[in-house]
Amino acid sequence: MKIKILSLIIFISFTTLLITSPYVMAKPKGTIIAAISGSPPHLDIMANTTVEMWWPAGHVYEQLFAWGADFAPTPMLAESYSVSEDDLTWTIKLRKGVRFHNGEVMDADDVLASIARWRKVSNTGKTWGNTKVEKVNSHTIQINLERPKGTMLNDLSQTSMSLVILPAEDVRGVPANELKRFIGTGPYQFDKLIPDQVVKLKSFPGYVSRGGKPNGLAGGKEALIENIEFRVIKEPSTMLAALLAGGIHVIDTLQSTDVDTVRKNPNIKTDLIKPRYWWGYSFNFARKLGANLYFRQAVQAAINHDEIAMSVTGDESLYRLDCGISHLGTFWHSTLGCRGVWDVRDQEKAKRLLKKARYNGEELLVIGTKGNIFYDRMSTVLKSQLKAVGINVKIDWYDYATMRQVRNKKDTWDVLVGGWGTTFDPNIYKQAWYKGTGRGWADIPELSIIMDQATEASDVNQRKMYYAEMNRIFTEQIPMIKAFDGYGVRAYRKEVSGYQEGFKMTTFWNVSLD
Amino acid sequence: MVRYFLARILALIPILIIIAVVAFVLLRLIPGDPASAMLPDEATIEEIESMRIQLGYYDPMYVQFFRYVETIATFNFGDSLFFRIPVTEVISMKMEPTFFLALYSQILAIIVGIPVGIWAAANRGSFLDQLLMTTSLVTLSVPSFYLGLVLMLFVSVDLGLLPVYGYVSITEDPLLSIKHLVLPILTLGLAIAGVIARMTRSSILEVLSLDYIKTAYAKGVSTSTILFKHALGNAMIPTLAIIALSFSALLGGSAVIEVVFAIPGLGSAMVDSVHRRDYPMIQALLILFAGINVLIHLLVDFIYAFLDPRIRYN
Repeated sequence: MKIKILSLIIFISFTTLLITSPYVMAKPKGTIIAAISGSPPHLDIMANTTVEMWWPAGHVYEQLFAWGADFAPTPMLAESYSVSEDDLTWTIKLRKGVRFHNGEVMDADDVLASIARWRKVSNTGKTWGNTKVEKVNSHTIQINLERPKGTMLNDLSQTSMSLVILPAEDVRGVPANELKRFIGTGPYQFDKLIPDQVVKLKSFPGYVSRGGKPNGLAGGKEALIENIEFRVIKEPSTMLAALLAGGIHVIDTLQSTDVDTVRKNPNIKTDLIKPRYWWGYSFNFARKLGANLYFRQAVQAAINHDEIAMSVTGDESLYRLDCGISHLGTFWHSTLGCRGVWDVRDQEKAKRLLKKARYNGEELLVIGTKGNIFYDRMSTVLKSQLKAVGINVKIDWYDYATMRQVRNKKDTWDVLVGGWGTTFDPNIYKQAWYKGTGRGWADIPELSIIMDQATEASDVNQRKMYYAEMNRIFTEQIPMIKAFDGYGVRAYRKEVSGYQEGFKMTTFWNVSLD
Repeated sequence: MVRYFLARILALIPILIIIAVVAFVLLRLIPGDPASAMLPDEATIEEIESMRIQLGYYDPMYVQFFRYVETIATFNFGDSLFFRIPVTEVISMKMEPTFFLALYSQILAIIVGIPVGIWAAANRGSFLDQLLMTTSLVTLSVPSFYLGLVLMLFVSVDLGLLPVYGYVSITEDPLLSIKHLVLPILTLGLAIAGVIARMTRSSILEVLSLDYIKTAYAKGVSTSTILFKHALGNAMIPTLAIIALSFSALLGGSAVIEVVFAIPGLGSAMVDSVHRRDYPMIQALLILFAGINVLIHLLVDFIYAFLDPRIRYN
């Protein structure tokens, strides 16, 4: 009798544990194959920005804070945080029991060492200057600032050159791109990288999920698939054929010309990412034409945004016209300063402005790049549109690698095609238009001052106001003309389920194969 | 004879040196630099400058050249600027796919091309001759990427018979390895088969017009004996040259086909390395391709002498 009761107790306890425990996970099964267009050389995402690297690395590493689906920084490896009244001290408590892929438990030493390396190898980290980062106890760190920093959570959660947490022994004194092991705390662990062929990840059985609902790059994560393979396929037609034939499960970015074919196929599901990027034209302030405000205004008045967008997307449902440099739909969006200035398509106004600019038919050098649909078509369409108002455009064609060198020289171009991915925080624009340090060397004091104010403001509504003002100055001073918002179309085989629809990044945690 | 071959082998050294020098100079002449190509779009101009200094981009040219010579002399081509691992390691990973793709394509080309050429020559002027020669002209004229994509869509997507892309090592799964290579082999092999068929046909026809063949006919020797015993051996010499040329080109990597079928071979590696301005990789690949080319031509010279005893080298 006693034995029966004991057995019953054990059975009930075990069953209860199985039902209630948030960390009981189904055994991962299957292999999902995604196509990537280029091979990442390694997974040192602290020092790099490419999507090819982020995609696998985003499954291997985790950050203190990560972007939620609503673009808000959300605690990930951080348990909680607090800010002192003077906004100068940030205290971050870390989650306990988080394990690295080598089995060790993450603690404050790992976080401190990772932050120290990130400050040396990443663009954002280098801006931290005299900031002091200290260990309070094994699971608490403190960041002491000299001046308030409204962008603190943005810095900690950005996905480009991101502050990922690695074991202290792996990162201490290791220069950029010299990581020897790729060990993180994510739901997937690094398995193998064959150059120009494949990056393989496998599920990490020791993963400690934060729990909760999936939320962008934050929230609960579970490895439901055993293996992930990122296969390098450079030719878009091959990528599409592989998807149609079932050789791969996911294409992150479909070519606009393939969207119709894919939508008609019953075995494929598409997911519209709205928007994924915006594209436009940067001016070179180091040269005569770019430095002339009337000339920049003339170009802005002359262009036809729809024509430019259609030349690249080829489909009205794949773009929209919006003047905000922070994307419509994000917290920071504003169109302040746009009315009557942006998307006016007024050739007469353009001609009047050219007279004011004392333009005498000088050559406007535009950098073009064959083989990249944006650089190619946007420069070609710009040439024809500006010719209509009497601007003498010359396109200098380069291959992509040469273009990347040429654009860094002050005397080689007047207008450069460029784009921005969906920006989680407008602070990123400091890279381009702050005190003449960015490409294009735009030094607009008004713009730099507002950027400084926004960086320091801790109150989020105050920052939003500054960024609206930044939009006004941007549209009036025109360091760059925003052309259009472009959408991305992601394609999945029908057997893939559980993905986050419409989210900018493609992630495979919580995703399964039916 | 032996002295000749030894001299030829020794002559390879200056040829390879010239190629190495040309490779070095050409790379420095093309615009673009590794630092801009390696660093992300967001990299500042200062960061790019700092990377250039780190890579020795501003070192005097003679310093860079001696550093380069040292790497070649020690067969240590340094680390790939992109992958940060030894160049030899990256190349060794990419040799297998290219080698098997070249080998199988060449075998297919020979198996198809030579019989078709003989058959066409034997039936000169007939409908069959015209049909075969027109077909061979089509196979060698159609751009390989187009043929590859059409085969891919029909065989892999519509019929689902073969994988669309990628490469599996022969040591991992021989059958799957071959399955992955069938379409690329067909694409490359048929184009080369067309060239071989046309060359074989014209060589045979040329030989058939020679006096000793006419004599054989006059003596009543059968057509098949004349064709296979008397004509074919002599006619094969120019065909052999075509086979050797195409094989060395294939071993140099069929960049387009490798890209279309996502095969991680030497050809696509060269294209990628140029885009990345990965100087050590480009230099090593150029020397490798040149070495392969020169060695194959040497081998062909040996085979010439073996096939035609009249050929003697002094």
